[in-house]
Amino acid sequence: MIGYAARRIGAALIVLVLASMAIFCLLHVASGNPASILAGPDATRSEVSAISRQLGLDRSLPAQYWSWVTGNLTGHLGESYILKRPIGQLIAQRLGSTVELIIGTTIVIVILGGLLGIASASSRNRVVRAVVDAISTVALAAPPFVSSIVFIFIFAVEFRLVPSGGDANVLTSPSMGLKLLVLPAIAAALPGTAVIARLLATEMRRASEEEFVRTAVSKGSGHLRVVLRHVVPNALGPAIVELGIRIGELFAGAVVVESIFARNGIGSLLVTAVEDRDYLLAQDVLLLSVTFAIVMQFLTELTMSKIDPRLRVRGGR
Amino acid sequence: MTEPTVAPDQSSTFSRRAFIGGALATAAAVGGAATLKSSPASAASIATALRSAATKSSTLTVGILADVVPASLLRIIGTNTPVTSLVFDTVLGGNLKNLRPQPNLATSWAWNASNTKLVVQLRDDVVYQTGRPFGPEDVIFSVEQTTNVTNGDQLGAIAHKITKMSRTGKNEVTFELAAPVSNFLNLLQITPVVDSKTFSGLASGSKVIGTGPFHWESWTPGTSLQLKRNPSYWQKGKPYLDAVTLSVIPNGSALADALQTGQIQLAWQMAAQQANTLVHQGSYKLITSAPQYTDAYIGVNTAAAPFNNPKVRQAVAYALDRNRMVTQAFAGRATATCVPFPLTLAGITSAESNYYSYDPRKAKQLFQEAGSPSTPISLIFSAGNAIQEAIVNIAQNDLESIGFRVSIQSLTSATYQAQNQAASFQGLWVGTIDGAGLDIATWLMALNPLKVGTNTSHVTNSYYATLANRLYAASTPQKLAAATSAVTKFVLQEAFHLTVAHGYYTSVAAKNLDGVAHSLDDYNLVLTSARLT
Repeated sequence: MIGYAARRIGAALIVLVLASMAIFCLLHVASGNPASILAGPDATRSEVSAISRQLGLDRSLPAQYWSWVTGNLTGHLGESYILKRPIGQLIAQRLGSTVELIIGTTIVIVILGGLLGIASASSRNRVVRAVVDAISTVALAAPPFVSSIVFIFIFAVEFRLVPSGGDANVLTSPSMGLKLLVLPAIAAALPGTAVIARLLATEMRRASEEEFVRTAVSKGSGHLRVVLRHVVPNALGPAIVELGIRIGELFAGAVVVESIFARNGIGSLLVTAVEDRDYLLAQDVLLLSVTFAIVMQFLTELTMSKIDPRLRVRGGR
Repeated sequence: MTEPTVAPDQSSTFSRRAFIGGALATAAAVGGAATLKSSPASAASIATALRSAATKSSTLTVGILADVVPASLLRIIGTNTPVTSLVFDTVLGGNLKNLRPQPNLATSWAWNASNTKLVVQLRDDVVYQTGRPFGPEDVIFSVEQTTNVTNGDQLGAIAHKITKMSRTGKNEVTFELAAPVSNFLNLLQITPVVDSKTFSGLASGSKVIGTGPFHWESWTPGTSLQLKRNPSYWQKGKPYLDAVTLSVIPNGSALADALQTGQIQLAWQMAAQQANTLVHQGSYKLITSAPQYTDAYIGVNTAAAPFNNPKVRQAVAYALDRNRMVTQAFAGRATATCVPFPLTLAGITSAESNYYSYDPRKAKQLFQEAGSPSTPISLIFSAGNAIQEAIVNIAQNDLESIGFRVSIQSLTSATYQAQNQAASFQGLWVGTIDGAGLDIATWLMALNPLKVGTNTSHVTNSYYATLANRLYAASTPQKLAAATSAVTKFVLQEAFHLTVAHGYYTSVAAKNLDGVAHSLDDYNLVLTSARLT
């Protein structure tokens, strides 16, 4: 287990180094720079150059890259060129909102996706299966942009059940925080829910044909017991992998949902940073996103090895 | 994490406490009014009475599409329009209709006979939000900042004309110029007066101190800005609002939803189509920036073929269906015109406003006379800007109908800005200028699309510089009108800056919000007299 972890950490570091180079290069290749943004639309080239010098953007690209990397390694993330605030502080302010959205979305995906998948695979009622499949299709087809607007119109504008948007800490303001979280979490979860449901249903149908399931049935086990004790645990693998990927994407990828629901998460911070060519901020957030995805991948593998003894990690028992 | 950014619903049930408070306040107002009857009514007394008469919570939540940028507070940029006039004052104000300067932090001003020395008398009852008295040194400091390249603004071009500025009295500051500058007062009308003692905290938003009606309390980037009433404001009794929250809602639909659910009471500068939809529901009122406008134009790079040929540029001008752009791009909230400058200025005629009437036949004739250039041309706009995109689509159709081969190119806002600064647009591009509150001389001195010398259209004609110098030196209304007329004719005839419309910014407010106004410069939000009833 320790050897496995060491190998994974080594691989992760290589990925992070390569990702940092790619992030840095891609951002600097795009035209425009923070000096241009700060200088305003009527600035002259000399004014933009003066601001560039002040920000240290006139240094060579390798020098800027090295400065960024060494700063991160020593815990100095730097200051936003546009917002003039410490980047660590900016990320910390947004992290809570993103974590809430990730947790909320994950809960919806697990519960709704699980229920739909099990219902689709195990129900003997044709109508139930048809309804479940229709729900999954709609959930997959409706992009978050559309579902968000529909939810706001129905639940916020028409019926005034929840606010239309905003942000509140669930820990300090549980009631308001949950009201503000429920719609964005469902909107962000719908596509993933449909995929999880279909993966689970497919694997459950496959697992139902296995001999151990026929054995359990022939020994007199009830239908529900067979499904929950024998079929589902052996069908979870692909769904867990998919769940890990979806959660990894949510860190900086829920931009559309954040924008429509006026949530101030990492995704909207990243988009603003890229639009404003706020190099350091965009680089740090992107690198953090890559790190989060790597961590999620590792956790997924660990979970898989716990669920399926056949998939023990190398070096473990 | 921050406090909740959702404003309390303003339509909550009318409680007994609110009723008693309202009754007492009304009684106080009536009693106050009765007292005033026997003595000359003063503006401050009336203001105080009005403030007492407010019956509901006086915290206003404003939804804004883009966050403020404290590092650019001294510049004229659109994202800071919701906050600049709430926190800062200017030395002079301006009449929105005739653009004439008005007293503000200054009580009076006078030029010498040669218009090279301006003496300004300042108010003696103004304090910063820290309690420090405002004085001439603060005006001098603020004007100096406009020339600082790293945080200076467009009007630094005017400030560079100053040869000396000094405190010449307890509340008096004197500016000396080498030569008359007809638009000099723009500098004092537009430049926010900042606090020299806390200026270092301005860029990060940690200490933003002005003399304006509201304190900058706290700023959470990307989320909200909290402002509190300045009890020491020099306009006694004002502002009426206790607090203002600027809530960042970056999506237009979400902004409309927030207004409809009561989370905000003012949706600042939303798309005209959405504004029209909300107003037609009957529950909201429209607030426009009119008579101030944004000059929507199509810029032309005159340095490269085929637009180095004036006939080709004029062909473009005649081909554009401006009325259709007003209807489709601005949802009717605009005026079709060919002139970038305010149409009410002396020296500008209605004939010039319609100089290039929509005439595809004439456009085609000019195009053919120019040799029917077959070079594909780019029509550039800033991605995400719905108005520019709508103009571009209409313009493409108009130009292709007379024979041009047009390809639309969208640029990210950062790339668009970089090309605007570097004057590296190829072909045609769509742009906007928020300069209606500025003298024309300032447009020519400070704004890239029309700047004399180095402009985005690469117009280096020495006659343009001659006309501009006449405008800068105009010392009488008659000379100013003549210089204005000459510059306008040049811009029209050279056809390098093809104005299509004067578009008005549209905001939507709850019906119980009164007193929202715009400032002269960049149409900043003004809430000095605003109140929730």
